Formats: sequence, C-alpha cells, structure tokens
Amino acid sequence: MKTRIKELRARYNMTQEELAKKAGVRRETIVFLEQGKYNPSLRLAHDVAAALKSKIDDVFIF
Amino acid sequence: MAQKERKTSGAKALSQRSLYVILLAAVLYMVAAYLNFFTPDADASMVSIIVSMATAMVAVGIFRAWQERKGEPLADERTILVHRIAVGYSWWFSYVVIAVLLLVNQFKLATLNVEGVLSLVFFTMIASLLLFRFYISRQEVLG
Repeated sequence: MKTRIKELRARYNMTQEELAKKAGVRRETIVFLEQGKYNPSLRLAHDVAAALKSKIDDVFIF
Repeated sequence: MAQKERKTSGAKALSQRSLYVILLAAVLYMVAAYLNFFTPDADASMVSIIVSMATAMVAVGIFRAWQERKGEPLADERTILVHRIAVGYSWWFSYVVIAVLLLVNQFKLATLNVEGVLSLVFFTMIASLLLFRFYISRQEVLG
C-alpha cells in the first residue's frame, strides 16, 4: 500500500523515531509503512494518521 | 485518551514480564544450588542444564529491560504478527525434525538416547523460532 507518510513527516519536521513514539510502534514498522511494505491494521492507520494530524485517506492511498 | 491508557498499561506489563523472567531465573538458580549442595544423588548434568537455562533467562530479562529503557515498545502489531507467523513455521520445522529423528531411530541409522533427542528438539524449537522471526521480519508483505 502506498502512503504519504514520508511527505507528511517532512511537512511537520518529524523523524521516523518521533512518529513511531507518537503512534506507539517500533521505528522499523514506520520504515516498512513508508516503503509500502506493510499493510497496517485500521487502528494503526488511525494512530499514524492522528500523529500526522491528517485523515487516514490523506495518509494511505488505497 | 483510551488509546494512551492502553499503551501505557502495555508498557508496564512488559516491564513486569522482564521482572518475572529474572525472578524465575533466580528460582532456578536456587533449585540448582539445592540440588548441588543438598542432594547427593542429583545428576550433575541436570544442575548444569538448570544453571544454563537460568543464565539465559537473566540475559533475556536484562536485554528486555534495556530495550524498555530506550522507550521503544518491545512489540507492536507488526512484530506480534511476525512472531505468530514464525511460531507456525517453527512448529512445522520442529515437527519435521522429530519425524526425521523417528526415521533415524526406525532404520537404526544412529544411536539415539532420550536426553539427546529432548535436547535437540528443545534447541531446535527455540533456534528455529528466532531464525524464522529474523527472516520473516525482513519480508515485505506480511498480511
């Protein structure tokens, strides 16, 4: 699944580690999400989107 | 808010788990000491196996506590998924190893004893779990 996590992270000047802490996951999970190599659960998608102050649809491209 | 509470309690539970692992290791050390000093008939190899297990548990407990101190969760949904898949593969791998041992015994290809087989299965299960976990965590799409 493609995502706009990297772009949104850059907009908010946030590192992968900071985003991981905000979303309550490990940094490697953020890496895999950014690379589109992991399909998150709805809860994780929500948490990541909330950490990036965006809607799920704006972060994850279905 | 509920989400935050869930995560905080999760982190506490993990810290407790590390503590329990170390406490269990301490109990194993005491059992080994009792067998060594107060039970003359105790098997020396059994004592060394218990001490090895306890030492490994202490190492795991310290490693986990160190990871928790870094503030990174020990497990998230991806690592839990990786672990579950690895457990499945490890189970099948161990099953195959046992089947091979059964054939080896059946056709008398090697002399097997209970201690050797149990040790082999014991280490195969844990080693294959760790290896599969390492391999699967580097795979792209999990689910």
